[in-house]
Amino acid sequence: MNKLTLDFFNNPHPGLDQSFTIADDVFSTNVPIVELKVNLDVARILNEALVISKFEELVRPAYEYESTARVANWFKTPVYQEPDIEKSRYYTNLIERKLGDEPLLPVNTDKNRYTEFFSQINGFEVEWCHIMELRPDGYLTPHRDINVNTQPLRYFWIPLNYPEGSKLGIYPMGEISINLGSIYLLNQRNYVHSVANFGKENRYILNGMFKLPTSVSFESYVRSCISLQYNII
Amino acid sequence: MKSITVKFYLTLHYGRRRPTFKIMCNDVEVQVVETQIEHIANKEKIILEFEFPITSNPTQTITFIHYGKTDDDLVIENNQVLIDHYIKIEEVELDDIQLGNNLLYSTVFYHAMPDIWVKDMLELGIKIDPSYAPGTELKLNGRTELSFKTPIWMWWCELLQAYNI
Repeated sequence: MNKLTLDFFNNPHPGLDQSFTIADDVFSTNVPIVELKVNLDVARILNEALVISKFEELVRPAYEYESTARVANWFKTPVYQEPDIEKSRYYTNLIERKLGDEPLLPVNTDKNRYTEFFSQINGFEVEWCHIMELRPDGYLTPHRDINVNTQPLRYFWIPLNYPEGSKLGIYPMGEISINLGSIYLLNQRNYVHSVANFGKENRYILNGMFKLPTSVSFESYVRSCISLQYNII
Repeated sequence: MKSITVKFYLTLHYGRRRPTFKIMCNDVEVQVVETQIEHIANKEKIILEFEFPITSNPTQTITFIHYGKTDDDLVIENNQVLIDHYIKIEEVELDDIQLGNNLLYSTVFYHAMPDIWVKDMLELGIKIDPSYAPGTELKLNGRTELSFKTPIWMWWCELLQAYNI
């Protein structure tokens, strides 16, 4: 694991001491993370996924002067993707001023494969999602996913298990406490974040983006969760 | 006094003779260990390694000074510069943390060219600012300043968090 990731998780962060405004478009609100306590049965989702999924390692080419890898032991399987999704919506990397050069996920419009997940969610449709597998000693070094999406809270992050040694950190909050069964809206665009697996078991995350529009009641629920979890002005 | 290890990954571009440089840590010159990675034609890749003594100042500064470049160092044919003479800072590693894109947001170059030269350039229609950022290419005599705070990981996160894109 690289030194930056180790320092990120092994040291106290300064903490989040500020107030926020909820945007008219609630998914544009610039808070770091929102927990939606929806009590998903993630064990059933994971069990189904492990039976039908084939995970492939995600390898990031090293930069010319990179001395330690930015990612390690990171695997992914596609779950679902709308057929007409624009590549630039989530693969454009504005830091490196280029379009992402990885291929789109294989288009899969068959929601019947992952029946557990799609039968448990309500209030929103999925634009795309996949399941990440982070094996022991796996990590994604602290980073921001700066792309052209200006609605950072459209990105959802669902831990399907959280074995000992699993870590999610967001700067400046530090390590995030995770409740299995919750959906997290993770503002990966505007906040530096990192994940790591210091344990001995594989950890699994289902993540992706909502399809808009979501239901009015769902937007209202997200708004109420933000109000409860942050100082709102 | 605590110190951290610093590595500069450089590419030296030159024709007749190698660029000359020195490094200051908070205004004190330091000795560096140099390792050559590659040398092809007019390009040499090296790593400089040194210890940076951290002071109680809120901000620490590494000053990389490029000096001694003259007109003779340019290889010119038919009024075209065939080979320039400059230093490019490709990457910097502080306390085993590579700066990556943050290098572009943390360096400023200040040239040390005489006023008369700046005036002559202006008369040719080329405005030379006293400084520019990022300061990763030292094409003139002058200095690049890299200022940072400790702990390095926290400063690194603050820099990336501040990108306004």
